[in-house]
Amino acid sequence: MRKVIMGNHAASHAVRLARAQVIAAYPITPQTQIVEELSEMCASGQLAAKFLKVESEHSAMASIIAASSTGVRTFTATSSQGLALMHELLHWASGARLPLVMVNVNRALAAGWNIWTEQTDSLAQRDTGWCQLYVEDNQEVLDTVLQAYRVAEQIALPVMVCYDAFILSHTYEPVDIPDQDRVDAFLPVFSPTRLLDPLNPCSFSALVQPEHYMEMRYRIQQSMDEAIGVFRTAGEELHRHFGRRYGNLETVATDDAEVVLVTAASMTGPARLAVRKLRAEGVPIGLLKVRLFRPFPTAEVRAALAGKKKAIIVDRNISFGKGGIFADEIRAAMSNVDERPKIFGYVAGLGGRDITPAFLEAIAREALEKEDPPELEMKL
Amino acid sequence: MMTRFREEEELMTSGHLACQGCGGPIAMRLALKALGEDTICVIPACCWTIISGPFPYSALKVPIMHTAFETAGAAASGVRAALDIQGRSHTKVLAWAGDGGTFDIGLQSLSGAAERNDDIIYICYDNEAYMNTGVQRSSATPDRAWTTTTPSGHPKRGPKKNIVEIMAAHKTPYVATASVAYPEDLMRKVRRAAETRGTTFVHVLSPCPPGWRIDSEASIRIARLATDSKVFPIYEVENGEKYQINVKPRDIPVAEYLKAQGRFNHLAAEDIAEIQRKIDHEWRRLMQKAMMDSYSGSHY
Amino acid sequence: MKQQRITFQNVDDLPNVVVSLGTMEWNHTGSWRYLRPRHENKVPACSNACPAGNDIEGFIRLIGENRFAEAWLKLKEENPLTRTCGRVCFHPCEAGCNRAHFDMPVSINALERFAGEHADRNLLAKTARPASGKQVAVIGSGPAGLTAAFYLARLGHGVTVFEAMAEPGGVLRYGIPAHRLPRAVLDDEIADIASMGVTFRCGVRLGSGGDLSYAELVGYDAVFVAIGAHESRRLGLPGEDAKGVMSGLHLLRLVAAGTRPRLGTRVAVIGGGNTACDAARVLLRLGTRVGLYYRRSRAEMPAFKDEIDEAIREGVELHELCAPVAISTNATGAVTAIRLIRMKLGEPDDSGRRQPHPIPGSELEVPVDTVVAAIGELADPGALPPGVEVTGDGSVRVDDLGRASVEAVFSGGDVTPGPRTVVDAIAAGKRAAVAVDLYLAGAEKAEAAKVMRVGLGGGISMSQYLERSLAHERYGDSEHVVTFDELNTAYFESQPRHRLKRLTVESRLSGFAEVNAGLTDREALVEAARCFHCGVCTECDNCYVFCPDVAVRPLGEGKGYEIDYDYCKGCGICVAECPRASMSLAGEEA
Repeated sequence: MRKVIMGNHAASHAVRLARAQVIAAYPITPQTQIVEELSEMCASGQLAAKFLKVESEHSAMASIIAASSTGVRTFTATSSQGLALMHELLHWASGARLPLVMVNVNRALAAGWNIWTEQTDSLAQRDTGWCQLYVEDNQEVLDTVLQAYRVAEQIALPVMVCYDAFILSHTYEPVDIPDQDRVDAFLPVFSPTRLLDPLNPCSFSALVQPEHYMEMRYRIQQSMDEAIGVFRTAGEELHRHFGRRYGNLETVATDDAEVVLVTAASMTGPARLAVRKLRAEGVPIGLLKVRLFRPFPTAEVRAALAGKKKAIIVDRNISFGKGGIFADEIRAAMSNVDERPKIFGYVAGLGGRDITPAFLEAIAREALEKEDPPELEMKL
Repeated sequence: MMTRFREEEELMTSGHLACQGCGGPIAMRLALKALGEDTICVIPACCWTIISGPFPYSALKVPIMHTAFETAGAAASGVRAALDIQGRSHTKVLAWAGDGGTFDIGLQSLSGAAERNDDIIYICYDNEAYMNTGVQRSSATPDRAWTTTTPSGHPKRGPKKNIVEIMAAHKTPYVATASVAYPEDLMRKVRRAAETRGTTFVHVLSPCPPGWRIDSEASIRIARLATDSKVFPIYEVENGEKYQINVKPRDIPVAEYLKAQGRFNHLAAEDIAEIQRKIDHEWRRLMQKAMMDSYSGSHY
Repeated sequence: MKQQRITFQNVDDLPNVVVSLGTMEWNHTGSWRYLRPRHENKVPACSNACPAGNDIEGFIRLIGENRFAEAWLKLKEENPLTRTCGRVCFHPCEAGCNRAHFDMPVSINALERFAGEHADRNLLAKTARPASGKQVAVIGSGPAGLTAAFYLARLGHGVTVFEAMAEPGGVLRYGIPAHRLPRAVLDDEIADIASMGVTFRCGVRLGSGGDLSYAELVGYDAVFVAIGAHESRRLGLPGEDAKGVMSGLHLLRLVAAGTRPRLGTRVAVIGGGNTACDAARVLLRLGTRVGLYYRRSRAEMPAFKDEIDEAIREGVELHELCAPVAISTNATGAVTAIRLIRMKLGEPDDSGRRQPHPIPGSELEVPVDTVVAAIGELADPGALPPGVEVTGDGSVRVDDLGRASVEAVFSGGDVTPGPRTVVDAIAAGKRAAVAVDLYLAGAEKAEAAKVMRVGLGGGISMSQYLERSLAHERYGDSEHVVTFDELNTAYFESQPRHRLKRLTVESRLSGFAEVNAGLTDREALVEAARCFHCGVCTECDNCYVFCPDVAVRPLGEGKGYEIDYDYCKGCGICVAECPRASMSLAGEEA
């Protein structure tokens, strides 16, 4: 069924279709409508789930960790400050190998207060052991949430689906909402082998001494490595079930490009227009959309950028004292590649400032003209 | 002979890592005997994190979910929700936290669970400081006690936080104090808590020999003195309103309780007199709440 | 099998979740221990104080469990005169009772009487040893003789009791009045002993001038002489042989035999002991006015306090610090008055009592019709076996097990030195039974003496002797007598001692009815619940319940506990929380 809905409601529908059993959340703009809609769904009986209206994001994460440990599919959504508050427990979730799915609507962090989009909130959680995906439009929101459950439960690690505040969250777009039976065919019932069960009483997450701790960490890293392929397969399965294709990366006109514009999340839309325009002018430019950020699909990025002259990376986030985080990740990914492009990193659109096709076109032209990239350029 | 106690299943094993004379395992053993095996135990950071043993072991024969320091209430709610949605409502959920995880860092999530009235049993075993990290003061540390962060030159000032009143103010269906010195009372309360729908809270005084600077054999005696000197009255509150005192104190001067413990060694006579005055005041207030001049309980 | 440590070969061997795969029982925390607790019964202060070594807490426990006949049997193991002692014993156990420091001592004596009221003779026979073929003669059937006879029979020996009087019982029948010990009770108790196969030959006086000489006791392998002290000390005063002067013993004997002597209306009783008190109270019942004259003050009177109190309550006029100097007579040689002198107390004498001294010029004369002298009793030297060594006052010299100086002769009770009480006589009878048994078996006494010992007070236990094994002793090998300070009284509630009900004075004086009432079942249960069971495990489960390490395990009802030293960390809580000091804590050996 095709409906014109806001990005947040696309997330809600995905959670409904995934048959989440325990939801816990705390209100924060711009995420709120996701859980409002889920509350309605629970109240109306469209979704048979327990909804815990907790007193903080920290408790939201604590309770879904607990619920997941008890053997059910869970969901929470948050944003910015709320995600930062959860930080401690993000580590806990991955350390406990729980297949949580969370939506983070990317929003800038205080101080001062800002409710508009920026990805520093989720990128600051880069090292928590969560998988992260950055999505471009409302349809992708819905599809990615379904993909997230499938992968999370396969690799026993949590997945965070990130999209931009307001640009997606509050913007209405036509979205194909699949029927329940099609989703059920894509996403099997959650049946964990180890759970809190008095019939098989085990302790979970006890003290792990140095003799074992590193091995446990090794196992997480192993699963993360594995996850790249699992995401790819799940993306293909999405295509098979719903006719929409999502890779870990998406490339547009990169085969013969000398320069590649690299984006993530909603700015990829304007970037498509900018690249189309420059191509029409004969500029040998392509587009690389990075969808999967953790685990980082290094090999795929290398394949996309090897041999190119320049990679122009626009980051809607900043690691103060260093620069754009995607740029840095790509720089690192390319570091051992012989024919690597020069990396042009730009930080733009922080705190909800618009990133328009014209703005991206201007950045691209600037990068094309310059011989050497600046270490960091903040585009005010 | 405690026939029922003998018959109830032993759900805590030997070999755990509690210090000699620790009240924590005594309280846990009693509580689990009262609850039975169909129980899931949520343990935030506290001494029991260590006591139950490292991976890949457990000292309990019920499932344990270890969780972050401040999350006992929320985590227990999460387990409860998951059990209910799976039709496993018969399984009891026990949140088992120390005073730090209850009075301090976990108070918010406990309050959240209590306000939602999620069907959990929350037991705080209170040893009146952060003992696992080496005896730092918590908001459960009593007035003028020594801890490593309140050295005897500058002991803690101000009363211990009244967690029972806080919980009663939530109109929690069942709130009680208990002590390892009164096992039958403790077990009765835990059973009652389990039978009560909604959030229930049992505050258990649990002496810590190294932290209180007492001999290991003195644990129970000191806990009993706490009640007999009215420092730690044994009572219960239904729906935040109906108060009942369950153990009649033997009216022992607080000095006897304080002088038995190294953590109060530095107290001057005036300090003791002041503490006694406050205890008498609090006891009168409690008696007023209990609206009775007799007791329902008895000495042991 | 106990849980083992879990090891992993490599990283793939590990689970991918931090999950438990076993319990902590691999971790033998016993290695932390430097103090070792153990269950160790100790001697209760009551049993330590009981000359007969009665298992007091044991019989009280049985009463508490509603097992009244078994309680009686438990007493009977250490004392065949349970019902008698439940009435006439001066109960040193109650003086020793630790509960006195808490509220009031347990009413042990009343409980003993209560247990006796649930006697079941059928239970007795089962406990006898097979016949030895040996024969023992017991001379005298007072408490010492009866006790020895009972235990010798239980030990499998043939026993014949020779009694000079017409009926058995000795001082119990002819000394202690019926208002203290009803004759039916005594008869019943003697019948228990007879039921063990003991032969009684009454009206047979042994010794020179008697019905039978010791030489004529043929076919006996041993003799136990327990003839008591039935000769009264003389006052040594002018007028002593006047008509109307008699000994207390004589008076009691007459009354016991049913005679009602003519006494006049005013009687002076001289003395402060139990005979004097008994005589005084009997005289009241015979309708006379009684003055009791004692040369020291009431505090020094050797009679049991209860007896003095009751005598005064009944109307005996006690005159302290008065000593007789002469008895006045009339022309017919009959008593008319007694002359006395007032005394004052000086320094303590050898017995620790303050020595009385006459106050010159304080003489007074009291008109009386009869004078009853009760200033002490002596053994009859003519009734002793020839050649037996005696002490200065004519008592038979014996060792600590009652062996006299002549081969195969044993002695005990009032005829030997020491306190002259029923329970001491019972203790002597028990000791002698053991001594005779050892003698007949040709066994060494030292080891047996150790096995039998109850505490440090000299009491011995027959059940321990019969068991012949330290492992079965009531209190382990402990000589540790529990003091009040060793108890954890937090587990005890204050509960008033049972107040003994007594007849009104009016109804007492109308005859020889028993003065003290027994306990009802309910009263007995309440009183039994007051016992602390000092030093003896009651399986209260404190050690088990409070063990933080689940290292104390009950072995089933009545079987006690085991401590798992693999896990016991030696915290000592079990010992500290034992209400009754039946656990001990000792340093761990390196």
